[in-house]
Amino acid sequence: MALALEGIKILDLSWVPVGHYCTMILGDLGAEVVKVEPTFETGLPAGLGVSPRGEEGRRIAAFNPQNRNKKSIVLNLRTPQGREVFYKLAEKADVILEGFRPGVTERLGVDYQTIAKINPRIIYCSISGYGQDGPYRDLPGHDANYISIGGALGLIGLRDGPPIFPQNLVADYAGGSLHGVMGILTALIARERTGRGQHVDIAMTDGVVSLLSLFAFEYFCHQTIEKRGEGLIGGAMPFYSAYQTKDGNYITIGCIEPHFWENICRALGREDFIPHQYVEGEKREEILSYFREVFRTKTRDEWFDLLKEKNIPIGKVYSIDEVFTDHQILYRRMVEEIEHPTLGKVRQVGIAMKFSDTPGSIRSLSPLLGEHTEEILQDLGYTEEQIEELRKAGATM
Amino acid sequence: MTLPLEGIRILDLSRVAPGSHCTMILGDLGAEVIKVEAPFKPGVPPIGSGVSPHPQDRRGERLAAYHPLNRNKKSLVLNLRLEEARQVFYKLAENSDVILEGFRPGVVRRLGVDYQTVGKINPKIIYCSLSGYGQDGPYQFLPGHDINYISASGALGVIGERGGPPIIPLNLVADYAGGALHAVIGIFAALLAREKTGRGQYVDIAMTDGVISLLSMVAFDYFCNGVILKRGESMLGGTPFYNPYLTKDDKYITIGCIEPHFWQNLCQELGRVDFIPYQHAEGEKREEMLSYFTDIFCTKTRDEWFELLKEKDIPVAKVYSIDEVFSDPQVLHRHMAVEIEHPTLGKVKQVGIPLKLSDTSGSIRSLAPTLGKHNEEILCNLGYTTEQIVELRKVGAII
Repeated sequence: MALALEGIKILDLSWVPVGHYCTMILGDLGAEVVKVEPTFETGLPAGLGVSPRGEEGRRIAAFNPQNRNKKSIVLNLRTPQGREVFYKLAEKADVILEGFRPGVTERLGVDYQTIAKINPRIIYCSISGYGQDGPYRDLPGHDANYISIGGALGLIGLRDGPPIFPQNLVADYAGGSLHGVMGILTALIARERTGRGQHVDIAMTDGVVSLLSLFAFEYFCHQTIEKRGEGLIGGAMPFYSAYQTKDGNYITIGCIEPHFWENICRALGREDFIPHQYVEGEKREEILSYFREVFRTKTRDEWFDLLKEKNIPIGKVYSIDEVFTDHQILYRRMVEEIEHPTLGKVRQVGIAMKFSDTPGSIRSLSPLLGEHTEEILQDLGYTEEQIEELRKAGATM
Repeated sequence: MTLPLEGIRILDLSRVAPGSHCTMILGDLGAEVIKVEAPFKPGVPPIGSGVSPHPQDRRGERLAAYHPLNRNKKSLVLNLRLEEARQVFYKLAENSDVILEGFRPGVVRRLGVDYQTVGKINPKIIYCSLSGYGQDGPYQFLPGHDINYISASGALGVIGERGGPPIIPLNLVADYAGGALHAVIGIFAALLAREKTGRGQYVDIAMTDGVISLLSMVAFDYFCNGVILKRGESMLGGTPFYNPYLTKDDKYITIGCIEPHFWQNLCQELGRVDFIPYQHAEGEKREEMLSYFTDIFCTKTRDEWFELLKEKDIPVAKVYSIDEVFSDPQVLHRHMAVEIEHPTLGKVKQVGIPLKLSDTSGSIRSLAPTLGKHNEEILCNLGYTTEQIVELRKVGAII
């Protein structure tokens, strides 16, 4: 079976998970991804920064999902020889992804302007926190900061409590990686018609603002400013909340539609609550405290088995180990076991998107730092002697 | 400038936000999106934030004008329970590239508009189903919402304070990231594959799968190191160097000093170079640093801190409410709020387009429709005569 992105060559200059996850998705779908990595340490924990080295590195690489289906070449772009190799790679590439602070690729001589002269068909995607222009362009930042500016963090948390970080799912992965994938695929589709590449400028902050479209709508249209823990889906409403169960776990109910609300009230023996789904004040407190009490009378799994038969939106709040024992998740192959020559079976998160004709696949595990340096240089026509020269000049390792 | 998806026609059967957000992105990029909607009567609030407002409702026109998810779309009402309406749908499907649906599995088969049926009429069609748990497996028929999908996938369990309850991250993680964005990516990949294979295909997106994929590094830590991430106990869940701090004016500022050099800059700036060696300290030292930072951030306002720290190469940002977002100079510079002229309402403000492409940028070409606004236009284009349209209306196939 063919892969959707077979034949698409991507050079990945990124050093952090935002970029890694973007090219993981593209690699899973069949793109040929080459990580272009530095000769020095980046100071990030193993698995989060550049590819690992050595024996322990082999284990980390085998399990790291974000760099599977990729090759690794080490190039010191601060040397002219290293840049020269990069230009040769760029001539034959379709996509370049970078995640530096704006301005860095210019200093390294691998910016869009330079590369587009070598290869006008190149699609060059920059993922940054605030974008390639504007007053915050040069500010450093992380997910926590981009969700602050984007308005998401201010809305997440209990009423009167502090804002709570949704891990790094919202800015890094949703606002950044996934928007990066969409931008790259859009540009590939456009290139089929225009014949030209282009620069795709992804700001995680922009992505977050876009995800908040309906909250922006409430503000623009009704001047409603949603407050933390007070909206329909912030956890304050009895019908859309997480409840603690007898065993200290949690179960969630999401009964937004009136018929689901009816079903839950019936199942919990309180039909009298049915007319009061959106009630405020004392009545809401009464419903909330009843629900809190009743959910404490059975375990999470007992509640799930009981309520799932009654057409009620429910879910077990899982820890990560439980996720990968759930029947649905196993059925959907969201965990895959891959044979490793020395480590045996290695478990990795599966591929989210299911295609009937061109499914994605895990074809190789993550590389060690520079694992493919020689192979890639030889493919470019470098001889053993020339490769040795590059090493001596500090252009590679 | 050309639009990247010009000439791609999408039939959108979805009624709720995940599907509508997906086709908003596709529409912004130039696809022609036709919402195929169920008839309903004026005065009945529709269920689903993607449903077009009824033109006879008092504020219908205004709601439509401001609705970001349905901009760049047309609205066609078809009662797919009737054979006459299904025939219209099949004719549309013949000349379309993509169909998106977000029903519970099984519904499109009952309506006769499933992939098996439509794929026979148009083998080049890309048919994307967006559901909570996917088109197969033991949970396929369970109802659910974002809150349930983030439960089953492990995301909700890791969001919240140490020892506290799980905190719901709105519907950003399952509905939009796990669902809408994965559906866009699935549709794009299938469009690119079709250039090579000449065939369409079925794309099965489960929001739960999407969220698990987003948790790939949490899964890595478990599979590789046996580490089970707990709420509030990871770096990204809040630590002295990565945290929101309350300021003098009762607002919050966030610090994201993961890299050692950023941590040094912060300690220096706050007059505690002695903290530098203890970035990842646990126990008493961690508490000491947390309480020092908590106290010191209360001595100035959020905006004062921002102005001060942003000059010092420290990852810092203001925690905004939604109104503040759209007065921030960076957000405005990036055109994340745009104003569009409406014939009767004047200037209408909407959220902008996040994907900035230098050669083929997206655009907002029309505001969201009211229900059935394009019935006649679309049916005429399909070759229906005025009499035939009247017939369709009589039998209740359209409104």
